[in-house]
Amino acid sequence: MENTKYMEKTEKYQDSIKELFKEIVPEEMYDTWADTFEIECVDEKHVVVTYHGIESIKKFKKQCKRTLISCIYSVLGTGKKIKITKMRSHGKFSAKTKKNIRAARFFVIGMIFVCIATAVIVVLCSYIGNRNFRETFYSTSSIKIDSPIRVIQVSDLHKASYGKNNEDLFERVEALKPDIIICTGDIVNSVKTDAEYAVALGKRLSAIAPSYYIYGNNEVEDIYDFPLNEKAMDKKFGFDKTNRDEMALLKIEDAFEAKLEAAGIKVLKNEKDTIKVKTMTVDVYGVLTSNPSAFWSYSEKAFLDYTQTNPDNLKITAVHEPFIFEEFQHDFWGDLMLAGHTHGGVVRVPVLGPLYTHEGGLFPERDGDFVYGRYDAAGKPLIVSAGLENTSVYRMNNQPELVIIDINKF
Amino acid sequence: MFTDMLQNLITNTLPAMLTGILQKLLLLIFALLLLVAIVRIAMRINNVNRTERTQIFKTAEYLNAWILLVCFVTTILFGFLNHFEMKKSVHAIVSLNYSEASQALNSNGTRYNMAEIISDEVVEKAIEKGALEDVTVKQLKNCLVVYPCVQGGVGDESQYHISTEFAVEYHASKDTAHLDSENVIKLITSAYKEYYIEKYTDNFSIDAEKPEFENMEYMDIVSYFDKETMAILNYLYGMAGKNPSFVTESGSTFNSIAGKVHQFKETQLNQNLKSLILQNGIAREKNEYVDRLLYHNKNVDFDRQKNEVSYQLCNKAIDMYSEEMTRVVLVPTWDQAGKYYMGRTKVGVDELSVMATNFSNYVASNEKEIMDNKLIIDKISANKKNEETYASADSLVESIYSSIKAFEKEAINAGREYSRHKMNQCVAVSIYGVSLMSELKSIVLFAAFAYVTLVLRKISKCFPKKA
Amino acid sequence: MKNFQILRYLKKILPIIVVFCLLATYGVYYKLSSSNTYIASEVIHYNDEQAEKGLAPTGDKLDVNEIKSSAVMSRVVDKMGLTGTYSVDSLISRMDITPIEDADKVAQKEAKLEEGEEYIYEPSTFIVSFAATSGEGAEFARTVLDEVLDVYFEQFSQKYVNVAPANNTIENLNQNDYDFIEMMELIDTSIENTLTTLYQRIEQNNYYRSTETGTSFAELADDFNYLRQVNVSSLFSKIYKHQITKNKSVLISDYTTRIDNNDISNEKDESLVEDIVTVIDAYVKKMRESGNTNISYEYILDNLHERNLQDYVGDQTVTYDELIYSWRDRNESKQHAIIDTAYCNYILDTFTDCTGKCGGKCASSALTCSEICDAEYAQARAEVETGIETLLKELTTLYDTTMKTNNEYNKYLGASYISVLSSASVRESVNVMLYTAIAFFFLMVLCCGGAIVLGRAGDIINYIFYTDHLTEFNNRAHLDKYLKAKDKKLLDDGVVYCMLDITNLAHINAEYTRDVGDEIIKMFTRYIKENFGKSKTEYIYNGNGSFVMLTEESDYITVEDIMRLFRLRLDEREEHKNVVIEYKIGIAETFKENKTARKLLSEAIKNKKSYTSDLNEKQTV
Repeated sequence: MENTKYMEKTEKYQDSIKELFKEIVPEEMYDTWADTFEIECVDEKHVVVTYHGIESIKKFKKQCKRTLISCIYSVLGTGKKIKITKMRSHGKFSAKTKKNIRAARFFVIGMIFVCIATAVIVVLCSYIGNRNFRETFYSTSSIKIDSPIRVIQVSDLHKASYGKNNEDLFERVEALKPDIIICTGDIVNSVKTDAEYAVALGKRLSAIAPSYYIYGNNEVEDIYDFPLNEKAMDKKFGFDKTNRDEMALLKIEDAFEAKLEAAGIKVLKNEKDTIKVKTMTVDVYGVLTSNPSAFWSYSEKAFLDYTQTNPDNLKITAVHEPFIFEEFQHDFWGDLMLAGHTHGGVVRVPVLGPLYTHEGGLFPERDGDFVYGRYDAAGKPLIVSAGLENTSVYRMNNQPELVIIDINKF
Repeated sequence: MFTDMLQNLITNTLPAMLTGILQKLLLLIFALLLLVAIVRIAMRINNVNRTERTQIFKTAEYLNAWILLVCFVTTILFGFLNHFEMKKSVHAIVSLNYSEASQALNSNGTRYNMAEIISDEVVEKAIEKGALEDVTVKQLKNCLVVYPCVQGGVGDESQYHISTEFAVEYHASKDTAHLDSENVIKLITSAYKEYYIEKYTDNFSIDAEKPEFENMEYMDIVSYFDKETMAILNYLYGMAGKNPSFVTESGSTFNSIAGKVHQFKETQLNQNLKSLILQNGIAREKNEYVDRLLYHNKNVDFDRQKNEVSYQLCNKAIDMYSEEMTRVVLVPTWDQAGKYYMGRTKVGVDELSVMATNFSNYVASNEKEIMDNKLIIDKISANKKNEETYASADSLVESIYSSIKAFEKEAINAGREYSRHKMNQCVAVSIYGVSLMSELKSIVLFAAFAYVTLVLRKISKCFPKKA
Repeated sequence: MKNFQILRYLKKILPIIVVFCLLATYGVYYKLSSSNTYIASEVIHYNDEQAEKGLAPTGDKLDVNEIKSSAVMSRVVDKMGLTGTYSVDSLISRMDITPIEDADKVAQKEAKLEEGEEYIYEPSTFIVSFAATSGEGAEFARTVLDEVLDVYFEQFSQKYVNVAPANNTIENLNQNDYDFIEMMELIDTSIENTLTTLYQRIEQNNYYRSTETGTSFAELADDFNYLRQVNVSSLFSKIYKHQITKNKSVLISDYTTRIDNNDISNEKDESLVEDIVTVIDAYVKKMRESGNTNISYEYILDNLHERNLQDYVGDQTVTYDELIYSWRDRNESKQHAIIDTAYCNYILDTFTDCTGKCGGKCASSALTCSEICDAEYAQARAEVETGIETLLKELTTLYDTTMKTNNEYNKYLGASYISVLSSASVRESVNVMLYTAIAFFFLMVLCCGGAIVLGRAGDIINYIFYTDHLTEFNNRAHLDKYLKAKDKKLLDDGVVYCMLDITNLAHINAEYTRDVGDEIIKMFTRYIKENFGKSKTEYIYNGNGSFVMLTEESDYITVEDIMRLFRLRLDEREEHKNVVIEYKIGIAETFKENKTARKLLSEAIKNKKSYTSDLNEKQTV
C-alpha cells in the first residue's frame, strides 16, 4: 500500500528528472534519447529506468547513464539503486530483427534448393545404381531334404540387360551354383517382340541348372487375347460353375512356350515338374492363373494333385503375382513359395516400407499386401522378389535383385 | 562408357573406398577449422577487455544464413557418406536352440566351440556359397569377430554361466570393402549353420549307390541286405533309446518302424530270399563260389582247431586245480535286482570255466559255419541252372532292395522329424544391419559439431588482431 | 589472517585441477590398458567318481596338468595356424589351472584324517585359464582356451577311456614287396584286430552314432565283416586255386622258416610247461602242509565287498591261479603253434603241388604248377592284383570313416567325462576402469589437498608479507605486486579505483597520541569495509593513513555514493568526536584511455578532493 503511494508520488518527479536531463545534456542528445526511456520507482531504494528506443541499450547506457543517474540522485536523492532495462519492442521490427528475418528467408530458400539438389542426386544415384543388381540371400529349412539345396529366382527382368547379352547376370548365376533356377514372370515386356531375348535367357540358364519359366502378366497379355480371370475365361470358353475344364486354357496354342522349351527351359502352366536334385526329389509347380478369381476355378485339381501326392518331395510353388497367398487361407501351399510382380513397391521409404504397387496403392504393406521380402504362407516361407527391372527412374532405395534361397535341414 | 564408369563409381568404388576417405576428410576439415578458430581466439583474446569480449560473444550472428546453409549441406553430405560407412559394419546373433547347448555341448554331445563360427572351413564355405570375388579366407576372417553375448565369471558358482548366444561382427576392411556387408554376414551365418548341421546333427544313411547285384553272388547279396537292414535297425534302436515314446506325424514310433524292419528281415530276407537261394542252390559263378566256401571252411577249421585246443586246455586246467585250493569264503553280495544274497569268493576254476564255455561256444559257432557252408556247397554243386529260378531270385533281390530303401527313407524321416522337434531350429540366426536411429545420431552429432565450428570461426574473426 | 576456507582455495584452481587430473587419468588408463592382459577362464568338472580320488577312469593317476601339456598345445598351435608365430612353450606358460575344492569334502577329509581314518579326496573341479596380452586381445585368449580344451577333451578320452586303437596298418600295403598270400594274411589280421576293437566299442556304447560320418561302430564292424567274408575270402581262394605268387622260392622259404620258428617255440613252451607243473606241485604240497587251505565253510566276511576297491588296489590274483593260468597259456601257445605249423604246411602243399597239368615240372622249377601251365594264371593274377588294390582302397575308406567316427566318439566321451560348468569368460587381469577411477579419485584428492596446503601457505605468506597488521588490509607491497601484475593487461570496464588519505594523521598522532591515530585508522578501516560491503573490492592500506580501494564490476557513481555514505558516517561517528579528521578522496574509473592500472591510479590521485570531519563545528567541507 505504502509502496503504491510512493510510486504515485515519484511519478510526479519523472517530468522533473527529464527537465533536469534536458538542461544538462546537449539539445541534440536530448532529442535523440528523451522519448526513449521511462522512470519507474519500485520502492524507496530502487529505481528502474525502462529503455524502449530502437538503438541498442548499450549505446543508451554509454551516452546517458551517468547523466541520468545524476539527475535521478538530484531529484529523488542519493543512495538509490538504479537499474536500466530494455523494454520489449512492440509494433515495427527493429533493424536487427529485420536482418534476422532476411537471413531466415535466405536460409529457407537455400534449404529448399539444397533439398531439391539432394533429391536430384538421390534419383540420379538410384538410377545409376540400379544399372547393377544386388544379390539377396534367404535361408529356409525343410525336413524333406538331406543336404542343402540352392534355388535362384529370376523375376521381372522386363527385358533388362546386365552386361552384354546379360552376361553379368548369367556369370553370377553360374558362380552361385544353383540347383534349380526359377523365372517368375515378366521376363520380357512383350512376347511378340522380345521372344528372342527370352529364348536366349532360357538357353543360358538351362545350361547352368534345371530351369523353369512361369508366365507373368506381360507374357499372358500377349499370349492370350483375354484376361486370365474367372469371368473372362468363363465367357471365352463358355463355361459356368458346373462344367469348367481346367485343361481348356492349356489347350490354347502357345508358340512362345514351344520356343522356350526348345531352348531347354521348362514352362510351367498350372502344372508341376518333378526333378531329382542330389539325392532328393523336388516338385516345382508353376501357377498360370494367378488371378485369385481364377486360381481355384481353373487350377484346383492340378494344384491339389501337386500338394497332396508325394508328400515326401520338396515342393516349390512359383507364381508371378502373390495375390493368391494374400487372398486365400490354405493349409499347404508348398515348402517354398516364390513370387514377383510388385517391383518391391518401386520406392522403399525408410521406416515406412514399400511406397506403391499398382494393385495396393500407396504403402500397400499397411493393408497386409505382400510386396517385398519374406512372408509367411501357411507356416512356410513366401519370397516376393523386387525383380530385376532396371529402366525405371522411379525405383529408389530398391536396387534390382537376384534372389538366392538356400534350403537346409533345420 | 561414361555411364558405366559412373555406375561403377556409385555402386562399387564410391561405397567401397571413397566414402571412408571423404567422411574422414570432411571431419578433418571441420576439426582443422575448429582448431584454427580456437587458436585464433586464444591468441587475440588479450586484445580486448572483458566487456568487449562479452560484447563479441553476445552480438555474434548465431543464426547466420551462410553458416546454417553450409552446415546443412555438409550434414547432408556427411549423412550420405556415413550411411555407406555404417553399412560396412553389421552383426548377427547366433543362438543355439537345442537342449544340449545349456551344457556347453554340441547337439551330438561333443564340446561346443564358439570359434568354429568363424573357422577357416566356415569362411571358405561362405566365400564359396556367395561366390565372393577378390577375397581370401584370411582377409575375410580378419574382418570377423565372435564373442558370447553374455559371459559369466569364475569367481564363485553363482557367476557360472554357459553361453548359448554369440554375436558375430563384421567390419569391412579395405580388402573386403567391395562386398555387401549384410550379404557377407548372412553367408557366414548360413555357412556356419550348414557346417553345424553337417558336423553335429543327426546323420544317417546307408549306401547311396545301388550295388551291381548282377555281379554279386546271391549269398553275398543276402549278406549285403543283412548288413543294410542291421544298419537301419541299429539306427532305429539308437533313436528309440533317446526317446522311445516319440511319435511321428504318420503315427509311427522308432520301435514300430524297427519292428517292421525286423519282421521284413526275418521273412523276406532270411526265409524267402535265403531259402530260395539255398533250396535251388543258385550261384552266379558256381565253381568260384564253391572254391571260396571251401577255402573259407579250411580257414574256419583252423580257427575251430585252435578253439577246441583252448577249450580242452581249460578243462584240463580245471581238472588239475587242487581241491584244497578251491576253498571259498562266503560274502554277502547283491543280485541284479539289488537284493542281497550270499555269494562266494571267486577262484581260478571260475575263470577257467568261463573261458572253457566261451571256447566251447566258439567251437560250436565255427562248426555251424562250416556246416552251413557245406550245405551251400552241396546245394550249389547239385544245382542245374534253371533260368526261371534265377529270374525270380533277381526279381526278389530288386524287390527287397526297394523295400530296404523305403525302410531307410522311413527311418530317416522319422529321425529327422525327431531331430527337428528336439533341435528347435538347431542354430537360429538374427541379422542386425544399421539402424536408422544410429545413423540419425551420427548426423545430429555432426551437425552440432559443424555448427559450433562455423560459429566459432565467425566469432574468432571478430577479435581484433591488435589491442 | 584470512579464515581457513577450503572452497576459497579450490575455487580458482579447481578447473586446472580437473583438467590435470583428467589428463593424468588418461595417462594412467593408457598405461594400464597397454600393459593389461586378458584372461580367459573356463570351469571344468571331471564327472567320473574316480576323479575325487585323483584317478582317471582307467585307474591311472589323473594329471590335470596334461591340459597344458606340449602334446595338447602343439595340436592347438597346428589347428589355429600359429606355427612360427607362437612357440608351444610360450603358450604353455600362459596357461593356469586352479583347483576348486569342495568345502564340505575338505572338512570331511580333515575330520576323517583326525580320527586316523583314511580318506582320499582330490578336487575334481578346476578353473582353466589362458592369458593373452592387450595386443592379442580378448578374443585370442578365448579362442586359444577353447581350442586347448577341445583338444584336451579328445585326448583325455583317447588316453583314459577309449584306449583301444583302431589304426589302418595296411595302407599302401601293395606298394611293399609282400607276396599275395602274405598281403592277404596281413589284411585279414588287420581286419580281425579292428573288429576286436570295434566290438569293444560296441560293448561300451552299442548305439553311438557319429554325426559327421553318420555311422555307428556296429555298422562299421558289419562293413569290415562283409569285406572279410566276401572280398578277402574270394581273393584267398583265388590265390590258392591258381597258386598265385610273386616268387615261389621265397614263399616256400618264408613258410618253412615259420614252421621252424614254431618248432623252436614249441620246445621252449614244452620245457616251460614242465617247470610250471613242478612249481604247482611244490606249491600245493607246501600249502597243504601249512594248513592254510583249511578254511571253515562258516567263515563269512563282515563287510560288503567294496566294488571300487579293486581300482586302486590293483590286480590281486592269487599266485596259485597265476600258476594255473600260466600252465594253460603255455600249453595253448604250444598247441596253437602246432596248428599254425599245420596251416603253413597247408600253404606249402598248396604252392608246391605238382599234380596239375604241368606233369610234375614245377617240382624242380622256381615256378608253381599253375604258373607253368595254367592258361588262366595271368588273368587270375591280374584279377588278384586288382582285387587287392580295390580291397585296400575300400578298406582305407572304411578306416578313414572308423578314424573319424572314433575321433568324434573320443570328443563325445571327453565331453561326457568332463563337463563345462561355466563357458569361457574373459576378464582383464587389471580392472582398468576401476583402477582408472581410483587413480582419478586419488589424483583429485592429492591435487585438492595440495591446492589447500598451497592456498593456506599463500594465506600465511600474504599475512606475513602482504598484510598490514593494524588494518588487516593488504599492504603497500601487495599494491606494488598488483600494479606489476596488471602492467601488461588492459583493465575491464567497470573497474573503479578509490584513494582515501588521512592527511592530518601526523597531527592526530602528535596531539592525541599514536593510539588515537591508530584507532582512527581502524575506524576508517571498519567504515570502508562496511560501506563497500559485498562489492568486489580489494582493500589496501598503504601506510601513513592512506587507503586504496580497487573495485571491479562497479562504476564511478556507485563508488562515489559509497564514499558519500562514508563521509556521512564519519560525520555522525560516536567515537573520537573531539578529533578533527582531515582526509582526501580520489575516485577514477576505467574509461577511454584509463585502461591500465597505473594510469587509473594516477587518475584517482589527480581526482582527490579534501574533506574535513569536525564534529565540534558540525561542518563538512
